[in-house]
Amino acid sequence: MGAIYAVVGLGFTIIYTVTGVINFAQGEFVMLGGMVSFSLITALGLPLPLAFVLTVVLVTLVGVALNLLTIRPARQASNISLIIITIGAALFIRAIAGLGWGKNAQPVPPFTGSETIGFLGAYVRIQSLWVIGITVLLVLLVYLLLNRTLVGKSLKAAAINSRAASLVGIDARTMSLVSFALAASTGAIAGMVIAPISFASYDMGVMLGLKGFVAAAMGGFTGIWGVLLGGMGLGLAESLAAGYVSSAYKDAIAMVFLFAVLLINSRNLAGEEKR
Amino acid sequence: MILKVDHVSVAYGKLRAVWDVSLSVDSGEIVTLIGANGAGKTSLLNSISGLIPARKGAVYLGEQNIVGQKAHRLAKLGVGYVTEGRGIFSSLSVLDNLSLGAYSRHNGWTTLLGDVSWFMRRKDIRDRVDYVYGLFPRLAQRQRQKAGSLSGGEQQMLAIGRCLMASPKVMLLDEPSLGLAPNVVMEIFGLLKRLRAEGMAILLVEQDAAASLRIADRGYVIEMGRIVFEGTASYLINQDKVKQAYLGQVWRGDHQTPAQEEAES
Ligand SMILES: Nc1ncnc2c1ncn2[C@@H]1O[C@H](COP(=O)(O)OP(=O)(O)OP(=O)(O)O)[C@@H](O)[C@H]1O
Ligand SMILES: [Mg+2]
Repeated sequence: MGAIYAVVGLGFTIIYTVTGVINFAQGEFVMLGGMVSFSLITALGLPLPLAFVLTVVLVTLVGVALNLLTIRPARQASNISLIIITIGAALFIRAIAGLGWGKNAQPVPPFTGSETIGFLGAYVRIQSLWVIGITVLLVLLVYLLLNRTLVGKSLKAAAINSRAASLVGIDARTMSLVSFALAASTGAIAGMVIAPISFASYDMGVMLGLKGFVAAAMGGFTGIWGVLLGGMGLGLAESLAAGYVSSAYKDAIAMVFLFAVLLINSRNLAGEEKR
Repeated sequence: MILKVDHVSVAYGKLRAVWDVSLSVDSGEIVTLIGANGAGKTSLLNSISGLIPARKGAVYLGEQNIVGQKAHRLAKLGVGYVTEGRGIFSSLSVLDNLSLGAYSRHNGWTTLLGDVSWFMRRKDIRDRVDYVYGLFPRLAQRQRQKAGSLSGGEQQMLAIGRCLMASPKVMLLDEPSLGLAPNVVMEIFGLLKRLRAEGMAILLVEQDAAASLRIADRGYVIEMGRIVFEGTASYLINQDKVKQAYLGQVWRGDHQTPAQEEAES
């Protein structure tokens, strides 16, 4: 689970560093990933790889649309109002999903076989291996994109100094768009790989989004490694709590972490306006 | 004239920072804009480069009126701007800073997904990097180093080098000598002369009027957002009022700027 939190948190981190906005619709990208892939596989009967690609494309388009329809027209607004806009957008997407797909949790078939296998003396579901494999790959890809390509460098440049970036010809609006597209596609992938384990439901984005946020905040919204550590730490703490205390406390752990992080970080999160 | 500023005014809310300013810069010419703290120099450069909108007036780049265009578009059209405080990308390497300087010369999405080194493989851009390294050999030695770890002078050189990567038609420089040792300032001013010889149009904003009038061809003196003197550098140096106010006298940092007084009243 920690890996999923890390990937969801990655979306938060990317958008935050580039635009200064915390995108609370991040969890909804994850939900859309789960629900859209559910529909494509179960209702349309598409083969898994095709459904996977289509889902990424569709959810990325939603991310792009979200940026064009809500963030771009309100560009003059303060970051706080933009954050509130993303909360509104999240509610909107969730409501539409609730209407379209109904409120029941849907079972999504795992990628390959539903049995568990013995691994280092413990039994793990094969889907969990998919989760780990795909998230590792995804993080690696995002790392390469950010650090080795020109678009990644320009995203970083815009994050470091948006004025200077505009003076070398980097359009802040394009960078904002790219960051939303990237966050939406990584979110969609997280939703797809987790759905066979957690079921897909219209409101799965709430908890996953929240935990991703906690992972990102634990990493200080700084970079890939911070959010990875944050996600893994949260996942580990959750399973420890479930194992030693009671699985009823699993979600409470995230809340405790959230509270702690907000207490420590509240000043630089809310107070920090974009330079 | 490469750059022509035509009756431009800039305001922040009710506060007028630049008032009805006209000036021009031709290629192969260093023009200096001098004035005290808060006179409106930075505001004028910001509006020429598209960072902030001009309230009134026009700015011509060659024949084209560029007023109202955004900074990232103007970077593509040929306005280069080295800001006060340099604005380098401190956590990126020197080479990355330079390659991003040529960002406006890429075409389309395909290049964006390319590796930076792949982008640099373009002959014209590679040549441009070599040209900048030729101007500042110290940057070549430090090309893999993080830009933030450079000394102040080297950072200023990087900022100028990054600006040159786009092959601008006109360069705006805001107090490039600020906080630098005299020998580094000499080096940078020497470079500006070399760029002038290569035909660059340079608008140099300085508080150190004596130094900048020595290398400039022409100059403008700005006070309270208005141009109060203009002429050739040798003319300005010999003007009594300019001498009195801007030359041979150390600035008191604490005096109130006229614009601030206006704001308070
Ligand atoms: N963003 C801003 N908002 C409001 N007022 C501003 C802003 N920037 C500058 N000013 C005001 O506009 C006036 C001109 O400022 P500007 O920075 O252009 O002066 P300057 O000549 O560059 O001064 P310096 O030599 O200190 O750099 C000043 O009174 C300043 O307080
Ligand atoms: Mg200034």
